[in-house]
This record gives sequence, structure tokens and C-alpha cells, in this order.
Amino acid sequence: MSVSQASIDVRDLVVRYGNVVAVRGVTFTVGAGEHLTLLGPSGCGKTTTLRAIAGLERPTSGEIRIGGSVVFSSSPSVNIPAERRGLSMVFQSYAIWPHMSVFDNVAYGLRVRKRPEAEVATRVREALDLVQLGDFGTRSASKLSGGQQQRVALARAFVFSPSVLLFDEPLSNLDAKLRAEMRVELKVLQRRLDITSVYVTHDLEEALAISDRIIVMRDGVIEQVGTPGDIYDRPRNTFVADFVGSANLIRGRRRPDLEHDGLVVIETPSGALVHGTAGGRPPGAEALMAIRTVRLSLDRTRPAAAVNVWPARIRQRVFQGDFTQYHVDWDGRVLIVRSAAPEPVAEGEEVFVSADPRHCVLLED
Amino acid sequence: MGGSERPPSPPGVRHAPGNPGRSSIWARSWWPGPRLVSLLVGGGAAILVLYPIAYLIQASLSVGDPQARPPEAYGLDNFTDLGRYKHIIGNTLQVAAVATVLAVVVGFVMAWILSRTNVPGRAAFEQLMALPYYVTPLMGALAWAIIASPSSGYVNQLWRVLGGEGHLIDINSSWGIAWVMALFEGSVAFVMIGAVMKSMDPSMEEASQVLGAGRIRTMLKITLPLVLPGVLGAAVYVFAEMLGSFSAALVLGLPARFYVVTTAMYQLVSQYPPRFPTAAAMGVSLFAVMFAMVWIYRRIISSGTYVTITGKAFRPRVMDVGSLRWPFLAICIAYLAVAVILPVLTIVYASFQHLGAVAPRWSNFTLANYATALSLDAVRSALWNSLLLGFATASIGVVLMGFLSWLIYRSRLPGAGAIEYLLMFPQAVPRLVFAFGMMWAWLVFPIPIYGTLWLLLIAYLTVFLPLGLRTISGVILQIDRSLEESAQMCGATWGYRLRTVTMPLLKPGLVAAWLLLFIASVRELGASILLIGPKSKVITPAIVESWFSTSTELTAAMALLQTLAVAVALAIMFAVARRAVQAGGE
Repeated sequence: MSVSQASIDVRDLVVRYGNVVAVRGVTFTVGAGEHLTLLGPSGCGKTTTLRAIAGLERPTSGEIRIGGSVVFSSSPSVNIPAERRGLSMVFQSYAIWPHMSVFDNVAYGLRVRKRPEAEVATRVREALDLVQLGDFGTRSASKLSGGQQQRVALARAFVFSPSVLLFDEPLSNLDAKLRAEMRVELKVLQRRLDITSVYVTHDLEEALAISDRIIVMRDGVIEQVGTPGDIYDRPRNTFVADFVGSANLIRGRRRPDLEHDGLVVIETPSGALVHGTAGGRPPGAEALMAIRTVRLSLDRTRPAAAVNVWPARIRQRVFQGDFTQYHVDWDGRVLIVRSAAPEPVAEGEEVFVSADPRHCVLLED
Repeated sequence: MGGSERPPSPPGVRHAPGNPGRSSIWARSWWPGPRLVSLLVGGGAAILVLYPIAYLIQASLSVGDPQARPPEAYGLDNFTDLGRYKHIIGNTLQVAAVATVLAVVVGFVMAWILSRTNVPGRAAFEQLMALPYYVTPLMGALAWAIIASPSSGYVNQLWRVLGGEGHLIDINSSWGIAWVMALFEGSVAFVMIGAVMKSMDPSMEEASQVLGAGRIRTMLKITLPLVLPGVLGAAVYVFAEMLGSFSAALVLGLPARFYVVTTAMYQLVSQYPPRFPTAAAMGVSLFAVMFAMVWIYRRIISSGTYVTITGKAFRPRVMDVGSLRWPFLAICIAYLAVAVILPVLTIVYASFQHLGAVAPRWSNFTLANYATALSLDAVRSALWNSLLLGFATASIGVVLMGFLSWLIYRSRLPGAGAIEYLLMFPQAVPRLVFAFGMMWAWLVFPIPIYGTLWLLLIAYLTVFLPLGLRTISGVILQIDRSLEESAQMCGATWGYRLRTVTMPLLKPGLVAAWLLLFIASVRELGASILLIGPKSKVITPAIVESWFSTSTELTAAMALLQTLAVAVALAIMFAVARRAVQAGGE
């Protein structure tokens, strides 16, 4: 299968419905062959942005280029219809046509392009094999399970070698177990096809698993852009820290006098010192730090580290299977700690909480 | 294959409008300009609806010579004069009120029994509840006139045989008309109230019971308030329909000189000399009142009280009513008996008799009525015209209304809401009133279509716009938009999408709409009766004419022939359609 990659440039994109502004001036670039994910809670404008790229939503202003060519621009006015943009899309609802067979569903894009039937047959078979539905061609599309429909939707989307693949929450209608499986499968398929892709989801794990880069959105604006590792370990502000996994937020006063080795130090109102990383962000006099719940350790004996070791007491323990969640009395407040350690600490026990300064991240606000 | 790959790189700025691209693909994707086509069709349909209304209003304001066209002078005298027709307005309100109360009670009771109790045969009854609607008020009125007219009605014949004086029941009264209409509208109310009952989340009632309220208390405090807006909506809707109803009032009221607004209008137009302006003023007033009712209905339906309707289908909680099942079953059977079985049997029975007599005697049976009906050229041509019109209306209507529904609910055309409002307009206008406007409008139309079948075709297409749109849009709204969008993302142009995705998915809705339009056209009375000409007669007005000028038995035969013709036509359609489907599948 021939591969054509295209880059996407979105500049100052604004989408307004009447008085509601869904997207407020978003600018980003997707490199050729890159897998980008738009992540955010519902109503953040991620799906609208995706649909604007697809051509299914007409933006109010801004510019969208695909492979260097302008497909939408407010001035001069250009709006290439969706069917002429050479993209493809997997829909949240799968949108499998119930009146066609699996084969006809997948063959649709090729037949639109008037490929000879022999070629259609070969390429549809290849595509169905790739999504492990090789024997399902003659099956009526209305008689498929959710997971199978998902695979047909995938095959249909990539079979005609589009230059860009768009995914609109494709896994959100599957049950948790199937979703985890499909996530892996999708990633393998994505790398194998090597097509530029834009993926929309509200599911953190999905975004972390399949993306080269993630854009976190809120209320129609971009909150942070970065690799999955960046987004997870170095959230830019409270919103990202909170949305991307659970984090403890600690507010305090800067103590520049104690800072060394490039670390930032804050002092909480009750006097605890927290050493952390600025990540290039200019710290002010007041500062906020985020520590992921999984990056905190609990020990019965005092760990050897020089900094970021604090005495604490277990207030509550909640067993959750893969991990145990502890509510810890620390510095006059409660910290949440998630620990996968096999030997649980008992409620009421005096312990030491510690954190590597690399995982204590200074936030912008 | 990379070299022959056609559309991988998207078209750039050079293909933008204003700079004619060299490729024909570019031209094709822009040419059928959905916007332009939509605007033309939407505008055309709007003219179809508004043109007659404008003429109706013009006629109602004419105060000079009533025969003069265009009017010599304008004024409101026709409206102020309506005070002279107070008794007619009173009659109309009385019939409508009685019929509405009856119909809503029937609808509510039937809806409750069939959706909430374990009455035997629930599923079958629910299907059968559509039948009264197909019996039509005209058939019902004819049948009940045969059963209960004061002089020759079967019931009254029996009454006198048993030694009674005069008559037991008089169907030629406001009560009689209301009775016939209520039997018909009962199934309408049932559908509306039943839908509300089914869409109510049963957990709301269960919550009440869990908190300790008894069954009666739950019914009064929870069920009733939740269902009330639906019942109210049905009542307003039925009342509005009743105000504009025509055929039963004509058949049952005319012999007793009992007039409602629609029959009075008809009388004013068909008498000599006709009094068009007065009739038009009545029509405009009736239209205004019905418009207000429809508006109120919409307000009720869309008000926040409908929170129970989530669009989610709940499995309604069925109550075990114990031995009460049998009385409930009797109620269901009784309704279907008086609304369907009795009328149909009566007409069949009468159509085979020489002289209407309640006691069957062998010598009284005959096929002569059918022979006469079929030998009359007038009947034959009327029947043929009706079938032809039905076929044309249904076929053109499905294409037109299918396109209009798609336009309104899918194209995101600016102003789609306004177009929808316009197209649903005929719903608020009694067909007789609408036909009056059309008569007036097309008389002066430069192309002479007045008195031809073309006028009837235009009339049918206009008055059945709401019926067709509702049926088709019901299906359109069920089709997820992403089914079309995904075709678009596969590169299909809008024409290709329409052909390969939208139309095939719409097929069931289109077939249903075709059938409904066909049946409705062949049986249309209110619009037809004013628009037929000597050379363009159709069957339903012919049946009414026969009722007033020839024998009851002949009329019964004609009514059955009409029903039979519809059935045969539908059977042929089904056979053809099935063969087409099979041929397509192989």
C-alpha cells in the first residue's frame, strides 16, 4: 500500500456557533507522519477542532493547511469541502453503513475513487486482514459486535491511503477490557501504516499510549503541548496536573536562600520545605507545586535522602486492586499517595513520606 | 499504484473559487451548489403554500360585489358580519368539545390499558389500534348513518319493531357527529398519549413506591402529573383537528340542517349565488383559531414539563391487574367493535342489499349495487382519476418531500427552520379552507389548470406536505449524521452520498410515505370537493354526492369499491417493489 504523509498546520482557528465560542484561536502543527492527540474534557473544543480539519465544521476564522495547501482560510475565503481534502476519519459512533456488507463498507472509498474492481478486491482483503477480519467480507455490517464494527471502521478509513487519518474518540463506545486491547492494536496499526494522524480523546491512558505528542485543551484553548512524558511528569498548570492523572498540589512561599543544584524550594505555611524542579518556568514569590500520587513513597523507617522526607501519619487506606490509596496526614493537610507496594501500611501508623525533587513540579499558576 | 493514485494531496489555493481549476473534478464538486438547489426548491414549496393563503385573505377582505375579481373594495365587513353565524360557531365548538373529551378519554384509557397493564393480547391490540384511523370519518359517518339515522337506521328499525315510538338514537345531531369523530380521533389520541406513557421512566414510579406510597397514591401524585402534558397536548391537537373536520359533519349534519363552520363554508360556496367573501372570512377566522391551537400545542409539547421524555426507550412497567384483565379486554374489544368492526360490517351488509333492512332476507340480497356502480361512467372515471392522482401524488410527493426533509434536517441551510415552519403550515389550515384559497388563486393563474386534474395534484401535494415531511423526517432523524459524514470523509460528493448512503437508508421511510400519501390522496374529500371540475371528478366527492342524490346501498357499494381499489393498488405496488428488491439483490 502506498503511503502518503501530509503535515497539518492550524493557525488562529476560531469556531463559533451563534454566541458560543467552541474554539478560541488555536494554533498548532502536526508533522508529516506524526501521531498527535487532542486531549481534554468534553466541551473543550477538541472534537470541533478535529471536525474543522476534516472539513465537517466550517470555522469562523483562521487558516488550515494540509500538506502545505490551504484547505480553509477566512481571508482570502477558501473552504475546500471535506470530500476533496484527501483525509479520512474514524467516527465515535463507527458510522458503519448497515445496508452494506463489510466488504462494501470498506470498499467505499476505493469505489468513490473509481479504482478497478480487481484492485478494490485485493486492497479490501489486505485491509480486512490487517484488522483481523479477513473472513468477514460477506457478512452484513449490521450483524457485527461493537469491536468488529470498530475494526471495519478502521479498515474503511485507511484502505484508500489517505494522507491523514483523523480519529474522533474511536474507542469510547467499547467496554473497558476491549478498549485496552484495541488501544494496543491501534498503536501497532498506526505505526505500521505510518500515516499522519490526529486523535481526539478524553481518556488519558489512551492519549499516553498512542501519541507522539499530546495537546491538552480546555475551553477552546490549548493548555499544554508536549510528549506523553512531558505532559504526565511536567504539567504546566493546575488544570493539566489535575486532568492528567491525580496530583497533590502544594502551595508555599519561595525560599531562594535554600536553593541549590538548580532546584526550587518552597515553604508551606506550616513550615515544611519542598524541593522541586522549575522546568524552565520563572518562579515568583508565591509558588505552587504538583506531585503525582504515584511519585510519593511511604516508609516505616526514615529514607536516606537529604531532602523531601517528611514524617506523616496514615489516616485512611483504600485497597483498589492494582494499587492501594493512602490518605496521609501531612503538614496539617491530607496528601494522597498511591502505592503498589505488596506490604500495606496500617491505618494510624506513623510513617515517612518522601519524593524525588525531580517529580515535584513547579506550576505556572 | 502510487502513480495512478488520484486524490492524495488535497487541492491547494489555486483551486479556490474565482480561479477556475483545470480539473473537471473541481467543477463537479462545486457545480450542483447544494445551496442554490436548496433555495430554489425551498422557495418553490413556500410559494405553493403561501400563494393560496394570500388569495384566501384577499377574498375575505372583499366588500364590493361578492362575484367581482379582483375585489372592488377592501374592508373588514365580512368579519364583523360573522356575528350572524353565532349558532354555527356554537355548533362547531360543541361538536369539537364533546368529541375531544370523548376521544381523549378513549385514548387515555386505551393507552393506559395497553401500555401499563397485563391485559391479554396487548401487542396485537396495539397494532389494531391503527385501524380506526384507516376507517376515516367519512366511512364512519356513512356506516353510522346507516345504523342510526332517525327514520331508516337499523337500530331505530329494531326499536320500532320492538314497539318503540319514533327513534331511539338520532345520529343526525351534534352528538352523532361528535360520536363518529371521537371514534376516529380516539386512535389519534391513543398514539399521542401512548407515546408519552411509554417514554416515561418507570423508575420514577418505582421510586415513589419504594418510599412507601401505595399504588393509587403513586398514580395520582407521580404518573398523572407526568403524563398530564401529553394528555393536554393530545386534547389541544384533537380539538384543533375537530374544528376543521368536514366529512362527518357534512354527511350527518346536512340532512338535519345542522351546520358547523366547514360545512357552512361549503354551503356558502356551492349555493347560488355563492357568497365567496363570507366563506373566505369564515375560513380565515377558522384558520386563525387553528393556528393559535397548533401554536399552543407546540408550546405544550416543547415546554420543560416534558423532562420525562429522554428519547430513551424504556421497557414500560407492566402492572398485574389480576382479574381486572377481563373487563379491560372487554373495553379494548368494545372500542374496536364500534370504531371498526361494526361500521365495516354495516357497509358491507348494506352494499349487498336492495333496500336497507336490518333483518336479513335472502330475497333482499343482490349484487346490483356493484353492477350499477361499475357501469356508471362517472364512477369509473372518478375511481380511475383518483388512482391516477394517488399514484402521481405519492410518487412526486416522496421525491419532493424526501428532498425537503433532507434539506430541513440535514443540509444546515441557513433558514431551514423557517422553511420547515412554512411547509408545516397546511397542518393548521383545514383542507377545505386551503382548497378555497387554491380555487381562488388558480382561477387567475395564466396557465389554465383550473378544472383539470393538475389542480388537484398541486392541491394534494400542498395539503399533504406535513404528512409526508413528518413521515420521512422521522426516519431521517433516526439516521445518525455521521453515516453521511463518513461517506464524505471517504471522498464521496453530495450526489454520490445521497445515492449510495442517504437514499438506501431512507428507503423504509420513503416506502411508508409513499403508501400514506397514496391512501390519503385517494380518500381525500375536503380539498377535492371544491376543486373538482366536470372533467376532473374524483371518487370521494362522488361518494358523498351519491349519498345525497342516490341510494344508501349504492353509496355503500361505491365506498367499498374505493377501499378495494386502494387495496388492489397497494398489493400491486408491493408485488412490484418486492420483485425489484429481489432483482436488485441477485
